[in-house]
Amino acid sequence: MSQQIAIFGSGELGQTLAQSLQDIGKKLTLFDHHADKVASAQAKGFDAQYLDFKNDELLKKAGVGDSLELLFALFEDDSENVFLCLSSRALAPELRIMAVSHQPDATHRLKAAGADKVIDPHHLSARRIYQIMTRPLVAEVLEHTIFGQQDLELVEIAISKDLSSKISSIGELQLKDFNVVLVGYLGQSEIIEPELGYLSPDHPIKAGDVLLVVGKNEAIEKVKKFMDIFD
Amino acid sequence: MGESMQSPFLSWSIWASESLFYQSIKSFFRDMLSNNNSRKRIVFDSSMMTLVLCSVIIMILDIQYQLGNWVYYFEWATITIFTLEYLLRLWTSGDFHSLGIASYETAQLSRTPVQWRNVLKVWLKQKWQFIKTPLAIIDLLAIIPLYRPLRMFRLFLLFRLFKVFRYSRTLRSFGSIFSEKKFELRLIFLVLIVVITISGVGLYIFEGHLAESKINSLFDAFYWALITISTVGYGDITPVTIEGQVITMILILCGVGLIAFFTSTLVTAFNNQRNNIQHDRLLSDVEKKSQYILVCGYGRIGESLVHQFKERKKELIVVDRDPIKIARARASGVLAIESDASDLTLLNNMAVAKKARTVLCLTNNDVINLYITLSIRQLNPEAEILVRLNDKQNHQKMMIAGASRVISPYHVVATIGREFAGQPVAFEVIRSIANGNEVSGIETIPVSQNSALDGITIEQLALAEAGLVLLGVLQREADDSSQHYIVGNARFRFNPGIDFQLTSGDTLVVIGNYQRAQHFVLNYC
Repeated sequence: MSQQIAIFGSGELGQTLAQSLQDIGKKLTLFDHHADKVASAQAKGFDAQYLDFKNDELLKKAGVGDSLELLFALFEDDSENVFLCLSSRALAPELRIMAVSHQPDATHRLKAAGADKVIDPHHLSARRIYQIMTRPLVAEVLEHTIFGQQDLELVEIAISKDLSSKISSIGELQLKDFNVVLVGYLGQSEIIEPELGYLSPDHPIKAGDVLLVVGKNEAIEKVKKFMDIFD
Repeated sequence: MGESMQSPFLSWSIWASESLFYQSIKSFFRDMLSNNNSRKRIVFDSSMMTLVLCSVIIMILDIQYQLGNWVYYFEWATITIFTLEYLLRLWTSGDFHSLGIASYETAQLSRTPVQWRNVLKVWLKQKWQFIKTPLAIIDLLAIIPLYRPLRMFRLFLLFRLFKVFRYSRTLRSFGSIFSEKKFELRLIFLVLIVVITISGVGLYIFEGHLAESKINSLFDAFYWALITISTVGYGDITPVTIEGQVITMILILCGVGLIAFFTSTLVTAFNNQRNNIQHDRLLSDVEKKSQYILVCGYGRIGESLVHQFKERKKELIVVDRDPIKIARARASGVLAIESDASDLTLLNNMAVAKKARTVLCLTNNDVINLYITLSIRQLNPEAEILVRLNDKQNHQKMMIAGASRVISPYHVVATIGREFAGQPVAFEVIRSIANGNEVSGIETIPVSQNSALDGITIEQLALAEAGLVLLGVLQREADDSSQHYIVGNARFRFNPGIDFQLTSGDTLVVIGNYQRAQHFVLNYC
């Protein structure tokens, strides 16, 4: 069953995110307690509903604590986002919550209220601009991979238990044949930094670990399929 | 003057306006003498100021120590230079030829003959306007030669020092305080003269003839009146009659009032001018820079961005309309100017056309951002202009207005949100690559001509030993293979095969950390 995603805040920010998620095939619902924002989202074709976030019963009905796996708190008011994160975290300890913060001090409060990830759009935009200014080539290349609309992507591929029983090191995957570049490895068991850069073919593989791969869409799909049916 | 013979005034006007030689010489001097933004002016001003100070110091020393005959020659040289300067200023203060041409053209249209006498009158008036400015008067007085026997003339030495007002922008703005309050200051001065005259004369009448009074002449009386009314009161002259004391009392009361009025006028003027002075000082700070990055709008993005620059903050100039934001900007250590960022006068004063390397339009209003972008693009076709986009519908318009790139905060959020949703495990790693940590991520290694990398194949590159992975190569010129993407002015060849050959001008894009990349560059290039 595909993830259930809820976006609270159906103004321009929420709609931009909703579009972005739909582009990768995710199903989602927008919620807001301002009728005009709900209407505007509906007018653009999104699945948007009116919901008062202060009411726990309504939150539960929306799937918090139940089928919902991912929640975005994108209200324009930091205090509303804090309230929402707190309510949701109380109802659903396992829920992944991402919140937006508009004032620098709100970040701590959102984390304390239970958000897994807090993003400050202004701070991040500033970093992006700084990168464009100081490392323009890198910024450009990133634009065409991670941020880009082109078909080059940076993707995580998990090692299944099945696969890990068949091979013991990276080299055996022969990724070179697929025209993808292996750029990093994330070990699930360690809480240490992920490894980026060159990985030797003898690097051991464990179930649950994640490979970071860059390549064209089709190539990555092929790799995934290959790893599924590895024999 | 017959129709067939052209007036010499006309011939001169035509020649002068068309002669490149004449125009370029005149504008060279104009630039050097009056153009606030010109490098020549800075050099000229500093040299002149040095000359002024030296000549005054030498004169002073000569009075005391009799330095020798060379002082005489030096003095004549100085006077010659100052005279030349005066004549040049006189010459560049107006053009006869433009007046002449304008009158001629008007005359042609109205079919009347040109009245050269009127043109001459206007031209002379222009020159007179220059001559009567206080600075010009100072210049004139400064070149009157000093005749040793006439001690009074030594006063003119002081006028040399006043010339410094011409050469220092700070002092000029200080001087402009007085010119702004000309009316009030003239009024006060007039009242002062009247009061001093009346009381001085009064005291002289009552005490001038008395033996016990120190007042022996009208001048003494005026001197006393001024010392008293200014509340200085040396006590060297005091009234000895009752009438004199009464006059003193009245004088003092008037004096206090006048002083108060004078002081408050100056303070108001200074407050009004403070912004202007600060502005001018800022502009002269800007002048000192040869290049800068312009940040328009010091909102949250602007603030965050400035913070990232750390030691490089001195490359930045912030412009914003809100004084509170400007105060914050200055508090964080960056040069900030309170102004509308689309003000052409300001932009020209800041020499945006020449000195702005990168311009950032960061306000939260797309209309304003567009306006600023357009204004700046008009002035500087080559600067990189990065614009904050608040509504993505305006993307196209921004590019048409001349933006190099747009950054949309909402888009940034959406991208991160998408990764959070799609790749939860790798999310943090992707974030750190994208944010450009120095610890991990993407690095670029240029291939310079005749370096160890020039001409070798991928197979020969020892990236693996260095702990780096090759993502791709940015080529300056593309070959016609299929696997490339347009990245800026270059083509990005993703994951090239092992026989791919590097040429100079290419750039390697590798994954790995910064240290490893530096290590590689040091050891292999």
